[in-house]
Amino acid sequence: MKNNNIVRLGGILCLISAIAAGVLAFTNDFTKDKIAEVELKASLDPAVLEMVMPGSDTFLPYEDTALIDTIKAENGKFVDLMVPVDGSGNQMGYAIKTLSTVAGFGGDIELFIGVSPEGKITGIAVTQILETAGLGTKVAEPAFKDQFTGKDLNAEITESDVNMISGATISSKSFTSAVSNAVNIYSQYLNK
Amino acid sequence: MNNFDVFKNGFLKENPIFVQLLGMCSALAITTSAFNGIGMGLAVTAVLVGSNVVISLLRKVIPDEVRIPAFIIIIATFVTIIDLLMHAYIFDLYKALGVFIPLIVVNCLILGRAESFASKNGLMPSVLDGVGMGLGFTFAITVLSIIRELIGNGTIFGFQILGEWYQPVLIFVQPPGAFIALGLLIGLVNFLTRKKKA
Repeated sequence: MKNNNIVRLGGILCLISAIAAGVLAFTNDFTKDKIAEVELKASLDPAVLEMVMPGSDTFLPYEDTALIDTIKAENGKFVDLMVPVDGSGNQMGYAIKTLSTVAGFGGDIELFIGVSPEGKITGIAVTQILETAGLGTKVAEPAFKDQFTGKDLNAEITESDVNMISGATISSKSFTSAVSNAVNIYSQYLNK
Repeated sequence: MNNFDVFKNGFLKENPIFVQLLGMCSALAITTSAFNGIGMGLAVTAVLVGSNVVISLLRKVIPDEVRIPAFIIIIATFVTIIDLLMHAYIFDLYKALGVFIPLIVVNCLILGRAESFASKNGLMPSVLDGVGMGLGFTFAITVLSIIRELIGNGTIFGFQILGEWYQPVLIFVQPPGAFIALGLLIGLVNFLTRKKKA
């Protein structure tokens, strides 16, 4: 008698879970293309491109995919490498997408960093941030991130090179660690 | 209690934030800007109405012994649906609220209403209860986030309200500021409602 009851309760829970899974599978199916599109658009938003590499027309995938695979294998925080081009198709340097190596309050911050052919930072866009809204997220504002513009990737960039945001030191440190990871990627693989 | 009373009850008399003190975690965590507050409020309202409807319809099917896991599954399903839809269609808000959208699952307001109202009442009152409680929650956290954004950042909905002279009181967008602002608000609400009774 008792066993029957357990089977009955388990069965009802199982049924509810199965229906829930079905509904979610349907929703996922319905939204996944749109989500991929939105994510892609967010990563190639014209405003973002302009922020990363002023004057660029679009970003192209880096052609040497073998190199990208090598960097990915050796540098766990590296995300992507692209080549900004201007209106007439001239290459304008690199755009490195990387996560921070020091976690912030809400995990890693993802930055898209533009690099001129001479190795200077042309601009930075924050593509993913889960810091405290209104506080840690201030690292995404020009007052903080523009401090890095013009810095040379051929030399180390450390926390002492910029002013941290008071009350958001951990987020500031996390942001800086992503920039120094870009320094590593640049000096190790791109500037040979 | 007629249907309108159910709605009004949720919005005012038993306001989830000011009176019942339910759903505090999201109310304290995301109320740093008015936009976040209203977005979170509406997301919670959508989940609450959805879960109230389903739970009310299934209240005779779900055995008492396993009602809590059943409720949690239903709530988690609605939260995931909202999460996916927001990701697809309201990307800015999705980015701003981040991890707090999945955390709506553990918002005690929603399980609380499922347990104490939807599982004991019919469809129509449950819908109204969800709408009333949800909008009451939205109203309360929007007020809270407007106060915090104004004092902590000098803006409301991102518009500069206070001039350059204003030095933002940073603590108000930090966690302690949430407790301070919420405490003062609840005190004010208590003060006003007590006066009316007298």
